[in-house]
This record gives sequence, structure tokens and C-alpha cells, in this order.
Amino acid sequence: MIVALLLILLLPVLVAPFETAGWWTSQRVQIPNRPRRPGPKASPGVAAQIVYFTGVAGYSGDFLARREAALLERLRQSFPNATVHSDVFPYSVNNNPLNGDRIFRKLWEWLHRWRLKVPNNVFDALIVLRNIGQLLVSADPRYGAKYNRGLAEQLEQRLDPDLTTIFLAYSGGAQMAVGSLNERAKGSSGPVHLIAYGGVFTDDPGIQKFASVTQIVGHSDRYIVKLGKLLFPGLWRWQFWSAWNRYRRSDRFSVRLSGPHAHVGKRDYFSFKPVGDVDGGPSYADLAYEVLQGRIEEILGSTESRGRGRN
Amino acid sequence: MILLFCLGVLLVSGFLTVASETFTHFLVRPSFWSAFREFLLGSWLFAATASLWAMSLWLGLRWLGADVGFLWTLEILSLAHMPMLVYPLTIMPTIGYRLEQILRMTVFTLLAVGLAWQCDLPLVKTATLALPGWFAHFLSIEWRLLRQGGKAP
Repeated sequence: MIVALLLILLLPVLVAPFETAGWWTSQRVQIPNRPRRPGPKASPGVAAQIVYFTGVAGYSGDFLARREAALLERLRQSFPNATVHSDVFPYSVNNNPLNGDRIFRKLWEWLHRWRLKVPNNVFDALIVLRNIGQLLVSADPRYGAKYNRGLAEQLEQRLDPDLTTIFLAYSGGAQMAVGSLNERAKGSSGPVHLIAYGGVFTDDPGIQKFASVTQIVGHSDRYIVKLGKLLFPGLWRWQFWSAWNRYRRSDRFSVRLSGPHAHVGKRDYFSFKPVGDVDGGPSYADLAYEVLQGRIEEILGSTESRGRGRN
Repeated sequence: MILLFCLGVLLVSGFLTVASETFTHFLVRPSFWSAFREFLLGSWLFAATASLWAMSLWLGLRWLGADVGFLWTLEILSLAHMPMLVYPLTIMPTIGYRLEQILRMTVFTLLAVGLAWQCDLPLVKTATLALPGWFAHFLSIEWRLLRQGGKAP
């Protein structure tokens, strides 16, 4: 019984590379001959582009939890000179949502309906496991390049390659951002920054390509952010030569404490719940946003001053 | 009978290893012709490097003064391949890649410990003796796979 249950739980991870293989099969003739398309030029007045990658509970590029949508709306209001992109589903090589054209669409739709009715129910685990499978594909040295190439192409269709790009990633979305940047088209000149809310990283060497990486983490978010250490020896401190450790020691990497946040649940980075249950006090989302806003302002400020320096 | 059993283990583990490697290769480069070629080449490489490994071990052991036969060395080498029977699990992303490394290390450890125990030789000597063959046997396949997987044209 336990073995059967384990097999069912492992199945989404076991078959995870098939999606990338299927996409690669359909693209392999075109890809070597297809020039990398330069992205669309941003409208004048746009200073930066923010890309949001959701965590491993994600369902599609179009669907975001109400709390995540609220965060993005806040970003739009705080940074009117930045475009916010959240329509790329990072756990699919070709941005195919779980309710898109796929064999198990009915299953994913059913699970999704269930979790909208009963949040954090046990069936949620299957969606999470399926997405973890894709995260592991992205971080795998055998399959990763192909997966990340697909993701990078999805981003290229949306982003101006010469503009400052800020990835805002929650949890496992951090690895997807790192992977996609590793396969970024040559000739893209805009600096790329990563800000992670409780980011789960792997030892993907793509991290070296970020102008800066900021990990925003709460006091109670202790374990999930360290899960990568279980599978990726490059994250272990004694491997001081690994890409991750070299980057971590550089001044481009920083960790900022957001407050008493946990990784998931009512005290996570998006929660509307007031901290300490004090009515009228700041919510968990407010506290995390304060740190996030400060960091984005720093990035945009430094980009602006560099721009002035050039002029 | 023991020899047949040991060779059976080597044959099945070899088949599972090459078949899984071919499958992974197919996922990385989905082409039936390329996968077929990979299977043939992988089988040849596995058999050739296993034979060379057994030969180098036998010669090395003789040189170290152990009075052992070639078939006996082959039996030990084959039995050390027992962990490779779970090799198909290595197609799993990342977890499989780590498992692959653990399995290879286990084969090496089993072989070095087995030889040291059976021939009454220091572990350092048997480990050193087993190392070149281990590199040739496993890392040749790994290197080819990573070379194909690590790039996206």
C-alpha cells in the first residue's frame, strides 16, 4: 500500500521529462535554423520590466491566486514606469497551462476545482509534485538546457532584451528564473535581477548571469528554502568552488529579512492577515512588500543613475 | 552455475543500464535512428569496458600476488554490478542523476571491498586497482550523454 502510494506520488516526477521531450521533438527541426527573435521594443517611458514566476503550486500563466494578483497590482501602482508580466507559466516548457492541450487536462482541472473549494487539500499535492518534476527537469544537467531554452523563448516573445528586467519569483520560481536566464539569447544587453520570496535555489550555473540576486526571507521560513541542499551538492558550503557558492560570496547576492513570515499558509509573503492579529496593523503581505519595494527602488535607482552617467 | 548467475547479473544490469541511457538520450535528442545508434554503441562500450576492466583487475591482482583466475575476477565484477539493476529509475530528473552517481559509487565500493576481502589485500590497493576501469566503464557513457544534454542549439 505504501509502495503503491509512493509510486503514485513519484509518477509525476518520473514522467516529467516527457513533456520537454515532446516539445523538443516538435521543435527540433526548426530550432537549429530558427534565429532567436529579438523581443518587442518597450514603449517610450518604460524603465523596466518585472516578470513574476509563481511557486510550485502554480496552475497556469493566466491564473494566479487572489493574493498574488493583489501583489502584482500593487507593483503596477508603485512602479507605473515598469511593465509587469505574469502570463508565463514557468512549469511548462512551452507555456502550456495545466488546463491546456494535454493528456491529463481533466485531472488537473478537477484538482484545481477542488483546491479552489478546499485550499491546501491533499490533492493539491499532485499539482505541486507535477510542478516539482518540471523544476527538477530545469535543474537537471541532462534535460535542463532544452527545458530552459523553451522557457527563455517564451520570455523573449514578451520582453525587451535591452531593458532592465527584474524577476520576482516565489519559492521554486527562483530556479525557473535562473534556468531561463542561462539560455537567454545572445545580444540581450539589459541587466537582469532576481528578487525571490523564499526562493528555492539549485546549483544551476545560470545564477552567475544575474546582475543581482536578493533573497527575501521570513524568520519562520526555515526549511523549504533549504530543500535544494538535499539534492544539489553545489549548494553545500564546503563546495566553495561551485557557481552558487561563488555567487553567494559576491556582493551581488544579498539576503533580506522580511519579518515573521512562513513559506506557506496564513503567515506567508502574500497573506492579508494582520501581523500578530492586530486589527488595522500591517499584514504579512505589507511587510514583505515593503522590503520588495525598497529593493526594486534601489535597482531602478542604480539603473537610472547609470543611464545618466552614460548621457 | 555461479558463473552463469554472475554473468546473468552483468548481462541484465548492462542491458538495463544501456536501455535507460538510450531512453534518456532519446528524451534529450528525440530521434529513433539516433537512439538506435546510441543503444548499439552503448552496448558495445559497456561490454568492451567491462571486459577490459575484468582483464585489468585480473592482471593487477596477479601482479599484487593474489592467485586468482580470470573467471573468478569476472564473477566478482559481475556481482558488484548488482545495484545497477535499479538503473531505470535514473531517468527521473535530478533525483535520477544523483541516483546514477550513487549507484556507480556503490559498484566501485562493492568491488574494492569484495576484492580486498576475498584476496586479503589492503583496501587502498584494490581501490586503486579498480579505479581506472571504473572511470572507463561508467564515465565514458556519462560524458557522451552530458555532452548532448548540456547544450541547446
